[in-house]
Amino acid sequence: MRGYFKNKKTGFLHDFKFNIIMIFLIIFFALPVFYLASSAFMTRIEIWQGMFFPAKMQWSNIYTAMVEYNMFHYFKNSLFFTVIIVSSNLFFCSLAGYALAKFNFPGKKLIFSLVLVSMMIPPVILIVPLFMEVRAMGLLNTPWAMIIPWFIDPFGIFLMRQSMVDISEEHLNAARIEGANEFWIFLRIAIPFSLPALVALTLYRFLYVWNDLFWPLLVVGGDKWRTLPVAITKFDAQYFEATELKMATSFVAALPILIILIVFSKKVFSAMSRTGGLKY
Amino acid sequence: MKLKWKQTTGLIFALPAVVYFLLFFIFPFCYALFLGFQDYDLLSKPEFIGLANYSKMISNPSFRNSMGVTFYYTFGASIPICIFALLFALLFKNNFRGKYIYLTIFMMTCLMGLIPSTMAWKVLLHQDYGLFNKIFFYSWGFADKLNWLGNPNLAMPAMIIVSLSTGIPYYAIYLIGAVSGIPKEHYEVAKIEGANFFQRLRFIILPAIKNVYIFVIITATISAFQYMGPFYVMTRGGPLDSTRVISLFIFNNAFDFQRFGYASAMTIVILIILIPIVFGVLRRGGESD
Repeated sequence: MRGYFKNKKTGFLHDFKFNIIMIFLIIFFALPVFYLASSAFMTRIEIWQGMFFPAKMQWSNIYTAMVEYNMFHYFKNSLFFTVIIVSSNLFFCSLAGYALAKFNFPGKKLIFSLVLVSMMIPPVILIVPLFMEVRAMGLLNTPWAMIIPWFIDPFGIFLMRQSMVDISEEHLNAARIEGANEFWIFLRIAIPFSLPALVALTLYRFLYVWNDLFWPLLVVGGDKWRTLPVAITKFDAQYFEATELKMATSFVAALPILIILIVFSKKVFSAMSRTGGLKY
Repeated sequence: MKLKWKQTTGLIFALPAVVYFLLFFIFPFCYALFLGFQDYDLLSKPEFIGLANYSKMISNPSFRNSMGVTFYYTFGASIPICIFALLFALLFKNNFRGKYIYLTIFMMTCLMGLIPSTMAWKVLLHQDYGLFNKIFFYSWGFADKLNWLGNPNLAMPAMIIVSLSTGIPYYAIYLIGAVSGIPKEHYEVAKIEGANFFQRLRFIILPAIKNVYIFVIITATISAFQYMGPFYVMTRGGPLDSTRVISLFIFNNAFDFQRFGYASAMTIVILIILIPIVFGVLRRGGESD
């Protein structure tokens, strides 16, 4: 992977050839990103005329959607839940990953096979019974319903386990002889050791939780805890005509991810190919 | 059984995971199995009806339609995704100026998220003012403005196009990692031997990335099989149920019509279809270690 982004000496014709191919591909693949960014600043008329660029940047779209239609409130809710769920995932996944990597205890094999199986079963499949369970627990329409079923993530456990297997046993034992307690060892040796995996896990979970639509749609009905994806689908159904506001809100919803991608694209790329390589 | 101190510590560290699997994986599983035999609408008490949910499913034309639609979508989307993702990875194996910028743009498309991308596509595919028609069709002299999302014959192809725009770059990223791990010497040998593109693909690239590629094929298939996000946002199953995939059908039955027993029975059917694939993958994974 190292040196992957470094461009070795290549001829002009070589670059030219690939750039032509890429530009053709970009016309299709970048279309949604481009159009989202561009139509968020158009007037409604411009969108309905099928324009490519706004004649004048309509910054007021963003203001109207965020403030007058209260989307900023939902944005904050999304951010709140994402931060809580991702941090909880980071902590508990690394804890369980550490246990599976470095300890022997009865039932370890069984837990690991459960990790593997549940990793492959898509969460959408279990959404009906899970909904009824959360309802029976009396958590519906509370923020807890959003957080509790997702406090840990099977793929995250797997990722952390694969990374922590490589911690040297001598290192841990040395700390034990020094009299460090197990939790301290976990925090000060295991966690720093697997920072790259933690970065990958953060990204992976952030993308998932930030974009999740169905679970929040089902479990939080009220306005108070509604997240941005749910708010956008509701807005879409309610204000059929307000295309420019829908696009502006969707653009704002995509903005955190687009910014992360622009700033850290190398990190995201290596984290993604890392998770892919680990998953099989 | 007496546990050593170290075993106890391990068990304590793994405890949150154990709680998660019991409460949010095994229990819902069993609960779905149980509810599959009940008639339950959340209001009255569940009532045991034996296999009635399952027989209702088989005789229900909407269910069969949904299964058909699901298979159409699964193969229609995952086969091109797997082929083009590999071609993408092979393109990005080469070094060229600006590669990095293109890669960032492709990642934006696939990671931007369900809502932003479907909301954009919804407008892009609009019959009258959608840019998709403009760029690819009537600007080039093709007669009609196609009504992508309103025509029962075009809606599914349109949804497949949407999935390709996010799926191809997404799986390509996994494959790029694998392809760039192939040692340079292999290509040099192939060059000396005078192998053409297909021979290189067959004898060098595919064997080297076999595991990752199988993983990609299976993940793409499983995820297409249970996909419902874009359908919910863009078509809501319409027009004329032509895009009501099975997970959307389950979702409708459970949360719009309150048929929780029926929906659970369908969930079980989906799991029964998926589980052999899942175990197949896991066995393969075990062999390749």
